[in-house]
Amino acid sequence: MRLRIGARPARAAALCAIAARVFMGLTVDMPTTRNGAWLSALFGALLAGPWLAFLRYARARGMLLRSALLAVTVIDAAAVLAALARSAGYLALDRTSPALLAIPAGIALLWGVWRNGDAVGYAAMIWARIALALLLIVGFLQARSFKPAWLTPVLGSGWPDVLDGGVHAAGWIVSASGILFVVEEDGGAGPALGALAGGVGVAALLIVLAGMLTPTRALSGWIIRLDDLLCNGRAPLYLQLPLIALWFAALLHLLACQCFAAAALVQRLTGAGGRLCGTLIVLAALLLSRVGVLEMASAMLARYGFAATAALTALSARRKGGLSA
Amino acid sequence: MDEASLRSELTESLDQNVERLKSLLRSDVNSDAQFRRLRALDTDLCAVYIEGMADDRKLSDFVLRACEERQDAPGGPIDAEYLIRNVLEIAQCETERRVEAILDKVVTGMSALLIDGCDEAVLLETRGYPARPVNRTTNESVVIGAQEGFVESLRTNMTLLRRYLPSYRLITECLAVGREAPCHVALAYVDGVADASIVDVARQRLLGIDARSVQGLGAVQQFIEDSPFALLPQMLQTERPDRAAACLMEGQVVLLADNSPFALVAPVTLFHQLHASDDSFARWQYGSFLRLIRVMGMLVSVFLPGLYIALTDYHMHLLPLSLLGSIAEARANVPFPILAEILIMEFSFYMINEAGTRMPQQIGSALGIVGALILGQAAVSASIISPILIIIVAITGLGNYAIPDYGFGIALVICRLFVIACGAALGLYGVCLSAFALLLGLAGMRSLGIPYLAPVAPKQPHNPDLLLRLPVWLQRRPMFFASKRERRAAG
Repeated sequence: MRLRIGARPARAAALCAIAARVFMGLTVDMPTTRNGAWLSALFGALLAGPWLAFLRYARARGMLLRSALLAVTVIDAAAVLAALARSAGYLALDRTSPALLAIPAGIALLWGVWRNGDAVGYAAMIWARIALALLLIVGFLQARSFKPAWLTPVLGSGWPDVLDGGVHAAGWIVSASGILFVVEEDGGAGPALGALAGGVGVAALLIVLAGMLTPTRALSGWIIRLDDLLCNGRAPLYLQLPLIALWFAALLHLLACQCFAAAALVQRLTGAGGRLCGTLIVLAALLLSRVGVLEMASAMLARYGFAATAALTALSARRKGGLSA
Repeated sequence: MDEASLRSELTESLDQNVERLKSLLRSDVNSDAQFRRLRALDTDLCAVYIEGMADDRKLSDFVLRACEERQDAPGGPIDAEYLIRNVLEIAQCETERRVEAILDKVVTGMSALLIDGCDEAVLLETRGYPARPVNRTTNESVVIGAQEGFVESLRTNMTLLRRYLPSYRLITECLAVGREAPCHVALAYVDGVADASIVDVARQRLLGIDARSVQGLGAVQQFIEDSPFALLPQMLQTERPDRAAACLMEGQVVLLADNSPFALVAPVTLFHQLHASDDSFARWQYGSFLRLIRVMGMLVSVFLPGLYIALTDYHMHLLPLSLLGSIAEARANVPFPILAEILIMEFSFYMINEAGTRMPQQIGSALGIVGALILGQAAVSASIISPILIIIVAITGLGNYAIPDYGFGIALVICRLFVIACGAALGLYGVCLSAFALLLGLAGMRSLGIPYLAPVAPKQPHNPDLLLRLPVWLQRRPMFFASKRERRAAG
């Protein structure tokens, strides 16, 4: 089975993945930017935009670039899988090992990769509509809880942190947009940039909305920040329900996108069967998600991943003659 | 059976031909295989037919009597063509010399007229077996709109289709499917409206069926669907000719078969499964509202019990305190865990449903009362089931009954069990995982090559007649899978 995806489903999947990853990164993983997180998201898009525009020139060749993109995607997928398992544990299943909680997600992801790329992309298209409906419900139910004053000061911790957050956001964009690299048809830079603009736009909007619900507690732990995100402490607890569904489903679609992209990259590199590649990638993500230093590795990748892949992309495109073309 | 005789052709000797057919039809033990010999036009003839399948009156009035009354015999030996042109008074006749083809036609009710001195037989359209008359639909009832339903006779069904779609562009290709006991299937489409590639796919899949026998359209569907292991049906079953005609005009193909009182429509999408026949008869506001109710029914049917178990077992804090109090109070004396409670109720519901379907109609209604009132009431009184769960299961069942397609409804029940299992094991995380897996399953499905979630995923230009229906005068476009010519014409 050849792992393939059309340009339109890939764009939809990338949009959802970028939105979820940038939002998760700037609100839960790295909240130091505080109120300036949405500016960081936009800055990240400015950094990653040229990279995505030139990515197609390096698509046909670039073993090194493929390998780098594969590594970034798999490690980040493992980090997201670990976050998903932690979330499930925190919400209700605290007596169950996170390793066990990651396994059902792994099975679902395997199913996704085996259904091939168009299924992942079409599912993302439907998910985008469901997410919008859920967000409208959340917005309606929590309308009284929004405090626009909490968005000030706009720059949050200041310019340096906003810029640092932007670099990280670019790293997360790289790890979430691998699926655009495995599209076989060349539709130009437009679709990739459209996915980037849409994904980052949605992420920035969600960051603003979340910021109006709860002031960011940058120094608290990951779980506390997740709790802040899902329940602002002022609205009734049962209003968490759509937020929890949004959180889990967004992470699952992000993971499906990353795992498919990684599996397709493995297939392009090795020529192995699609199901085998998918199984290997999901197993790798499951194993890596249990590695203790994953968080640190993921943070390092977010900081330097963009710079490294951008350099490799430029190198690959130059070797192919793409830039001059 | 003598394969050589079967593959052979007729000879000029009537006796030899009759003996061969008698042997192949086992007329020594087959009492309904009839061989009626007669002499007319100075020639020996023999009519071969199956009693009951062929219409005796047609045969005697328009074939046998016509032959016997004709006096002006030609000078030389008569042949099949002469009989067709000058003697027989039946509209549909054809000549055939292959023994197997003759037998295939005879067993369907046609008659073969063998002629001495001629190596061709005349096949006569004398089919006249008893069949149910066109009647009201049984499973696809509508409040307003046409009430006629398909019957078991392919010919009648094709006529019904032509009546509802009087267009010279309506094509009905007849194909025989199955090696030993062929099933006659009609592939219907509107030429120029249906996409040629979709028609080709359907035709090739029908011709590619390699089975000894195919029992009706249900089996045909299983042979030609895109994903045989997928839960949801990839074709629409309808017993209504008006609905089949409407589908044809949208560019879909319709399959009809002998002995199948319904039609199969393909390609279909998830949204087609939520459409009912009378949607198009009702004003657009009513049709849209009813479709939204069906969507809600579908979601409730799949997710409500799973959500209930996830919330009450794992996420009590997400329930409003008063509701949590009611649930706890109602469950205080119930000895089973919620999962067991749900499974007991669900399977009781399925059993009542299935028993009600199989029982004679008069007893079936009584069973509904027994199931709904007595069993439910007794289960609550005995503290086996909490009253809240009965409400949950009842709403779930109602949601399922809102789905127009029977097969789709059963698939949703199986999906529901999957969601219940995931919700019971992992809470809301499990429900989200199961929803994600189901969505991926749907997204990967196709119907005759058309994505199952189209025209939403992938997005395609389409009529405002998907979940919400806008007025018919705004519905100018054919479906996205119609032929390019038709779509261009619609702009």
